[in-house]
Amino acid sequence: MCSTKWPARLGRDAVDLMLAAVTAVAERSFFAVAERCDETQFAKLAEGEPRWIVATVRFTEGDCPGILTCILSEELAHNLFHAFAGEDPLDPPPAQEQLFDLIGECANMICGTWLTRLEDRQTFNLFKPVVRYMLDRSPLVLPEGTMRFTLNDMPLAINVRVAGGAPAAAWG
Amino acid sequence: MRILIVDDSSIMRTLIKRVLALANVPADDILEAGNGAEALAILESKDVQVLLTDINMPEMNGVELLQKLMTSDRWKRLTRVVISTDGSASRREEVAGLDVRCYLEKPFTPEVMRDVLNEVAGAPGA
Repeated sequence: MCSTKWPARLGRDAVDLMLAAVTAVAERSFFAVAERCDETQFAKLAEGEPRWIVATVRFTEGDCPGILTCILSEELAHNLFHAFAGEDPLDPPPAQEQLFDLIGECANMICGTWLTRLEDRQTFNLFKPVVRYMLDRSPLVLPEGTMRFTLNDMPLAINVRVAGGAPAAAWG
Repeated sequence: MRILIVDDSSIMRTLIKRVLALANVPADDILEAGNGAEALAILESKDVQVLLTDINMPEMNGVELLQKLMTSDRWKRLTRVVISTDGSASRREEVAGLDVRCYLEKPFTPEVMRDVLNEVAGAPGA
């Protein structure tokens, strides 16, 4: 049982904070625009995307464990890499190792920024992100509580699971 | 001036190096380490003036590294900068007693990093 006291509800407040975290990361690191996205719009954007990347970050907030998962299209991942590296979007795509390193760092920053804003008086620890291609070609069936966003009008889904707490409420 | 960048993300180390170059920080040598243990090995063998370190890293994290550096006068003049996703007041308080010159929260814009680097480049020991 965690001694860390999560917010009374991982609901709207936590989702608002997640949007703020995604926005901060998007703007400062990738010069990108982040917006909230509803299920219908997300499904439309996701349609036809051939490949998806999943980045998972385990964390502990005090003594309470959790997992943050980011799911984004490979196209968005390449877009973010070129922006972060200061490259032309038309440049060849990066090597997989480099791409996964960046996406892992992106998930890391989103998780850390969210946790900092969620509970400023509690230190947290982040574990090295695990990044992989999603095997299933269709990402449309996302877990309950998944939050949906767009970065530069491309789909990004984030899911958070914490021990002893409810999943963050779905948006839209 | 010799600078040591400590972060388990190679892409983040590359970004910091790029910002160092763009900011014209007078660095003669830039070294890298993937965790605190690697950093300590470098610090024990080379004379480094500025340390830029992440907090959350495997094997030896940034706080453990900074605590280790406090155990010897050898690194008394080493300028220490923390670069971390953990911007909580609790974490900042934790490192406050570890001779940290600046605390830079990720994500950061290149301009903010540049300003921090230009400030510490003129610090004692640098």
